[in-house]
Amino acid sequence: MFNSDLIKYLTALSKISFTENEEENITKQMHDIIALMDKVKAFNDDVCVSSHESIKYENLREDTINNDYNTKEAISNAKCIEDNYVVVPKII
Amino acid sequence: MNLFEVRKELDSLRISAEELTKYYLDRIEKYNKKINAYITVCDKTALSDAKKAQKLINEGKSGMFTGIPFSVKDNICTKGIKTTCASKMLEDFIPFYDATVVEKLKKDTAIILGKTNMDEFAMGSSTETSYYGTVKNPYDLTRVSGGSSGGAAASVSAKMCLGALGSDTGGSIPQPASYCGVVGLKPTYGTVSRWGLIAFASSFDQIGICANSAIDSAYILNGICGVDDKDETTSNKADKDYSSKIGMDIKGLKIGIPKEFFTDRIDKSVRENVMGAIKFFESSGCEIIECSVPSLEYAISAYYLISSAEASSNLSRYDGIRFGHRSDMGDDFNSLIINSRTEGFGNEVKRRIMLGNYALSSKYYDEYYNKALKICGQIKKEYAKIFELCDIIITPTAPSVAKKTDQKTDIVSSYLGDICTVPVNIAGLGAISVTCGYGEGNMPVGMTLVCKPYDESTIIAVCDFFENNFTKKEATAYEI
Amino acid sequence: MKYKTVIGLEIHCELLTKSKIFCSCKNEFGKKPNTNVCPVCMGMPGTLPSINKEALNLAARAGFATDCKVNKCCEFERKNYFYPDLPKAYQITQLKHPICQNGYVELANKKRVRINRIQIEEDAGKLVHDEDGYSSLADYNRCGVPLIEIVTEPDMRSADEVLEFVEEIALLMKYADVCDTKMEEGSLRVDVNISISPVNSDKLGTRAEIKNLNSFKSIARAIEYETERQSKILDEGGEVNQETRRFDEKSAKTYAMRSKEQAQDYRYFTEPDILSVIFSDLDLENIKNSLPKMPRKRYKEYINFGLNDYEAKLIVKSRDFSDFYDDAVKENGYFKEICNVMLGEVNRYLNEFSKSISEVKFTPQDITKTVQMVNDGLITKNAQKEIIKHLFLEGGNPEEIANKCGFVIKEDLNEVQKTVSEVIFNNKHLVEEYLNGNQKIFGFFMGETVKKLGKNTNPKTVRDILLRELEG
Repeated sequence: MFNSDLIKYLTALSKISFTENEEENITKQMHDIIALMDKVKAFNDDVCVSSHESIKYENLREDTINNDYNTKEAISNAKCIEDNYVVVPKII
Repeated sequence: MNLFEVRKELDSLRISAEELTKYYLDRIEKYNKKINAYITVCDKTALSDAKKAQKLINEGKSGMFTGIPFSVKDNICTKGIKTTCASKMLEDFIPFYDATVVEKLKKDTAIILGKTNMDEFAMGSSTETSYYGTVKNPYDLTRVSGGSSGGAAASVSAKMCLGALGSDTGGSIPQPASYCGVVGLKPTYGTVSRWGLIAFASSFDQIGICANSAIDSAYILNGICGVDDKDETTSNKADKDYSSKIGMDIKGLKIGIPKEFFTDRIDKSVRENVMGAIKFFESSGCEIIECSVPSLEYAISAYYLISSAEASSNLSRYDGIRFGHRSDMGDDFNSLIINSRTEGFGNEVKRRIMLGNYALSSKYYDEYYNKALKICGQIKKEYAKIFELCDIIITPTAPSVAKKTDQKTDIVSSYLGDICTVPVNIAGLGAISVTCGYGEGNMPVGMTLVCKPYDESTIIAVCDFFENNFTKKEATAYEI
Repeated sequence: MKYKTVIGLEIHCELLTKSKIFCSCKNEFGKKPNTNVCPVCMGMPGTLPSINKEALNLAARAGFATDCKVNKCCEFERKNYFYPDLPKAYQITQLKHPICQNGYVELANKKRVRINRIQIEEDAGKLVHDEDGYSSLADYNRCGVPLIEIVTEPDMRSADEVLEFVEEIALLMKYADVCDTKMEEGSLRVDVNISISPVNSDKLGTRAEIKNLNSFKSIARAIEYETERQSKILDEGGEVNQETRRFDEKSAKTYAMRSKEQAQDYRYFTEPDILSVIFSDLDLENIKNSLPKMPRKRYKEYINFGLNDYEAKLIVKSRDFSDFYDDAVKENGYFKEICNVMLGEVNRYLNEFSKSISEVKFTPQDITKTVQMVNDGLITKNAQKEIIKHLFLEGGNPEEIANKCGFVIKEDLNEVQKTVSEVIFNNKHLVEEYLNGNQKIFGFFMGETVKKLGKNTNPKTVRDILLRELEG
C-alpha cells in the first residue's frame, strides 16, 4: 500500500525531497508508522463527536491599531532583501 | 533551598543577584560541555540583567523572580537571542519579539541564563533528533536525558539554573523530568500563553516547568500563567495561586489508578516504584480507586496522527524566504523551498511532516485524521468520567528509566514509549511528574499525578506532601 | 447548437476594519513595502492569530444585508498551500461552519440569486516583479487584511444578470458599511464560475473558474469570451476542462492556469489556534438592528412618495445621498420638489466640484428651506438655483443669502395691481381673444407683467391678480 507513488505525492505536498537511497528508507519507515496508525481504524466511532472549544463573540479582540514593530525588524531574518522587499524566486 | 528561600536570601542581601547568576554561569561553563543542556548561553546579558535586578533589590522593589536565574527551552522566542528549535532550519534565527512567558519573566527581572537543548522542533523523546547533539543525563552521562525538554530537565538536575521553562506536546516535560530526577509540571491546556512558543502541534502544545520541587513549580507557574490577548486558547479559569493548597490534609483524597497503565508493557521496576508510592498514599489515608481508560490502546496512533497533521501545517512556513535556512540552490520558488526544507529539517521532522500530510490528504482524511479526532474526544470523556469519582490520577511517567545513548530504538517502539504521557495531552489535562524511586542502573523513576482541568494546585500539594516523605538522591555523575 | 450559460460567483470584499483580522496592524496597504507588518501577519515562528471582533461584526452585517442566516457558531479552518505571498503557507478561512448561509439578492426582474454562504478569510501579500526577471519582491502589508467571500449558487444566466448582481452586492455592502467596494483598488474582486449546456438539457456543463476580475468591463468581456470559447469546444464535439483560468485585459481572452488534474490538495482542517466563535441571540439582534434602512426598502418608499423608478434608483445608489434626501424630506415632505433639486442642481454641482454629498457645506434642512421658500412664493426658482450655488461655494443660511442678495420677492400688491392694469390697458385688443379661449395669451400677459416688475416678482401673485382682472 505504501508505494513510491504515495511517497512522491507526500513529498510533493511536504515540499521535501529524498535521494533514491533515502526514499527507499523512508518508504519502509512510513510503512511501519502507518501500520501503527492503522490502529485507529478499529475504533468504533458511532457515538463520538469531536468538540472544539469556543469563545464568546463579546470576548474577541477589539478593533484597535497597535503595532510595535518596524520594517527593519520584520525583515531582519530574511536572507535576501531589496528595497525593503523580501526577494522570492519566480514561480514557474 | 526552594525559590522562596532563595528570594529571602536575595532580599536580605545575604547573597547578591550577580553572585547567584555568576554561580550558575560558572557551573554551566564547567558542566555544559559534558551534559549539552544549553544550546546558547547568554552570559553577558545575564550578568548585566543581574546588575539591574540587584539595583531593584537594593531599592526594595524586588518581585518574586527578581534576580532568579532561569533556563528557557530553545523553542520559546527570546527577543534578540537566537532561538533555534534545535534545528538547522533556525540555526541563525533571532526573533524580534519575546514569548509572553519570557516577557513575564523579564518584567519581574528574572535572569535568563540561556536556551536549552531539545529534540528538533520538539519532535522526539530523547533529544537525539537535536541538530546540536543529545543531552546527557546528569545521573549517568551514558544515558539520555529524555525529551523533548531534555535540556530543560538536565539544566535543573545538574543545577545549571534554578528553574526551567520547557514545553510539552505529548509528554515532553514529565518524561525528561522523570529521567533526570526533577519535578516536571505540564499545566492544563490554556493555563499558560503559547504566544512565542514555536508551534509543533497547536492543540496539544503547552508551556510547562522543570523545577527542583513541587513548590518551586507552583511559584513559577504563578508567574507565567494567565489569560493573554495574543493567545485565544488561554483560559481565565487559570488565574490563581498554585501554592495555595500546599500543606493540605490529604486524608480521604481519592486517587484513581487506571489499570491500563500498569500492564507488562511498563518495566517491572517502574511499576514497583510507582506502586510503592501509591501504597504510601494509601497508608497516609488516601482512598485508592482502580479505574480505566478503555480507549488508551488508540491513544498513541490518534496522538501521532493529530500532532503530525498540525505539525505538517505549522512547519509549512519554513520556506527559507522570510527567516530560517535558505538553500543556495533553487532558481525558482518551488525548488528553493524544497531545497531549503530538505537541507534544513532533520529526518524525524520530515517523517512527521509526511505522516501529517498523509493523514490530512483528501483521500485519507476521514480514515485517519477524522477518526483520530473522535478518539481524542472519547479519551477526553473517559478521563472526565474518572474525575467524577477521583480527585487525582496516578500513573507511571514513562515505561522505563532513561535508556543508554547507544541503545538503538526503532521508530515505532520510540513512539510507543510515549504511552504514559500522551493521553494527558489528548485530554488537555494538567500533570506533574515527581521522582518516586530508583530503578534500573539506579536511575530515577517518575510517577505522574494528573489533575482535573485547572486543578494543578491539588497535585502540587500532593506532590509536595510526597517529597517531604521521600529521600531524593542528587545527580552527581557529571561532577566526577 | 444553442446553449444556455450558467454562472455562479465568488465575490471577495475587503472589510472596513481599522486593524487586520488576526493582529493589531493597521488595515492598510499600497504604501511603502512591509511597513504595516508584525510577527503575526509575517507568519513568524511562535505567533498566534487573535481574531478581530469587528471583522465578525462586519461579516454578520453582510449576512443580514443579503438575507442570509447568520450562524450562532462559526469555525475557522486552515487551507494549506505554498505560495510566495502566503507567509504561513496556509490561509485561515472557513469551510464547514461559515458565518453566514442561505441568503439571496433579488434582481429587477424579481429573480432571486441565491447566496450559498459568506465566509471570513485573510488576504495574502502582494508580489511585485523584479526588473531582473528572475525574482519577485514580496510585500506583506496586505497579509491579514480581513475579507469576506460571498459564494452564490449558479443562478445567473447572462453577463447582464451578473453585472446587476455584482452592482447590487456592492450597493448592499456599502450600505452596511462592510466594504468600500472600490473594484479598481481591488477591495471588491469577482471570480466567475461559468459553464454552458444545450438549451434543452437539464445537466450542468463542466465549469471553468475565471479568477480575480476587478472591473465590470472585465466581468462582461470575460463572460462573453468564455461563453464563445466553450460553445466552440462543444460545437466541435470536444469537452470543456474543469480548470481555473485568468482573464487578460489586453487581449480580452481567458487563459488556463491549472486544471483539475493539477488541482491542489488543500488539506483543510479546523484551525486549532482559533476557538469557535459563539454569538448570543442578543449579539445577533444588536448587529441586525444596527444596519441602516437598506436600498430595497428605501426604493419602495420613494415610489410611494411619488418618485418614478429612475429617480428612486438614482437616489438609492448612494447611501449618503439617500440619507441626505431622507433627512431633507423628513419634516415637510416636498418629496418631488426636493428630489428635483437634488438630482438637478445638487448633483450638477457635486459632479462639477467632484465632491460627495457628505463633503458639502450645507445641511439637508438648507435644501428643504429653499424648496419651502419657492413654495411659499418668497423666492423664484431661479433664485433658488443661485442660493444652492452659494451654499456649495460658501455655505450659509438660505434665508440670509436670499435677503443679502435681494432674492426675496417684494410683495407690493399695489404695484403689481398697477402694472397688471397697465399691461391690460396697453393690450386691450388681446383681451377678447383670450376670453374667446386662446390660453396662450395668458402667458403673454404674464410675461409682460413680470418683465416690467423685475426678477423678484412672485409669479403666483401676478397670476392671481391677472386672472382676477381678466375674468373678474
